[in-house]
Amino acid sequence: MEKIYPYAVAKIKVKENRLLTNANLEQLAQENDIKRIVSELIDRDYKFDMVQRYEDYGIVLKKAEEEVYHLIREIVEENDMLEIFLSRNDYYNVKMILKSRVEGKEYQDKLLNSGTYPTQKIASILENKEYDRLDKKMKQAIQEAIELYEKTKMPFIIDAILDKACFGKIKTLANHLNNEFIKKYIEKLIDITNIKTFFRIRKIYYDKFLFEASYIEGGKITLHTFMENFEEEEQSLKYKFIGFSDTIGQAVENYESLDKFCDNYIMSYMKDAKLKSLTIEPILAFIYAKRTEFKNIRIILTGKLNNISAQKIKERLRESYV
Amino acid sequence: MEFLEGLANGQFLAILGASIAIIFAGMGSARGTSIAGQAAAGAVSEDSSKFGKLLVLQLLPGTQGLYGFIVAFLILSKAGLLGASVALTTGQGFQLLASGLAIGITGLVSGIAQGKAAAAGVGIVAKNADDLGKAITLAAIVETYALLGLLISFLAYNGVVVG
Repeated sequence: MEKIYPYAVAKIKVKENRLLTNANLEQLAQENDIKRIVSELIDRDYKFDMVQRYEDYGIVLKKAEEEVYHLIREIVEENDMLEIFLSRNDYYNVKMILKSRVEGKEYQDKLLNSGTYPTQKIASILENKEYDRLDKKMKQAIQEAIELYEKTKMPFIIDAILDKACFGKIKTLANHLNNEFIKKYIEKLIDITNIKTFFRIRKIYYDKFLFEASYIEGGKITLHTFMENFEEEEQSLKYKFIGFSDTIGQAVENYESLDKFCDNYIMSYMKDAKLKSLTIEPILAFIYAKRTEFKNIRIILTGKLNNISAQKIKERLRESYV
Repeated sequence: MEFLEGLANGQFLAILGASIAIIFAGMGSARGTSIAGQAAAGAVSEDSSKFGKLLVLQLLPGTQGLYGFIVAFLILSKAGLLGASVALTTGQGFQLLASGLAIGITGLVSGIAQGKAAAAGVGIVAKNADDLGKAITLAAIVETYALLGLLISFLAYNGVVVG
């Protein structure tokens, strides 16, 4: 019998009322006065009193993200579900540090605070090459990524190897939870990541075997389908991936907005969780909804601070959960 | 031998029937109100103004235990355990035991199911407090099956002639 979370789900359902709707987001994008935008966000419990300047909104969003994870830890006993999100942050941080190191760039501002490893710790481990302090799979992935980078000198390989390891970990976590909704979510994420990698490699490197090395197992689209179609004309690609013609079509016709399309694709899947009233799905969907909200706020505030037109900001906004 | 005679004792069987009625129906209600109560607590922890409305939803799965109690009380009474003593045959004892089963089992299952429906209703009220009526109606439909169990228990109990 599926485990039920009556307390957590009911709490989340009340919290959902405080999420920004699509209409709210459009209004914020339309608003010219940044003070009013911030004031609306303060009403939604964003702690802008923490910062002196609007430019530091990243600190506020990081705090808000930490609060979401803290809440989930409080109301859900098992941490596997939360770890699905937190592990992705860990691997993202590792990628950032390794890539910044090889490219000779600063990385401190790019790191995400809410991983299972504190950012300071992970930075110090990578700086001092004390990989034994990390979990075994992550250690192996880092060593492999460094080794392959040394051979190829392609920063992309760091992304590919660590993404693969990351999905390996979250697939294991999803299997522990034994929930079909979560397993399907991971499956969709893997397909999307593979599609993005496929187009990225086609556009930048055009190397079939690099894609083969980067391919992540566990999605619906097989490696064979990708490899078979790697050299196909762009226009005929969308007919080759059954069930993904919309995503492929988007990648072919409007590659710049592929990320937005993929985010909305996952969000439309997450909305199915609204029909669940006791099981874990609405909790997972809430985490995803909040992360999307943070992304939307970032798009709005960055846009406003850089005098980008309301229309352009609206075009970039992701679909809200509510 | 004495042990087997004890098991075939009419009054023992009647007590067993009463116990089944109250234990299982009570378990259903305890579990049901617990599920609905946890959901209500989750919503109240965010919005305490909804406490009154959510209390109604939590109470809904509590009726099964009450039905089990009524049937148990009636069985004990007919078995002569609450007043004037009555001579009860083994057959009559089994009949009273069987009458307790109906509410016991329907109470157990419907209590848990109603608790889940009520907890889902908490989600409706969490979104919009004005929809309390809809949440109650949806959860109350599960009650039908507990009532049918009670009715059959009562009819069966009524059909048992003692003394």
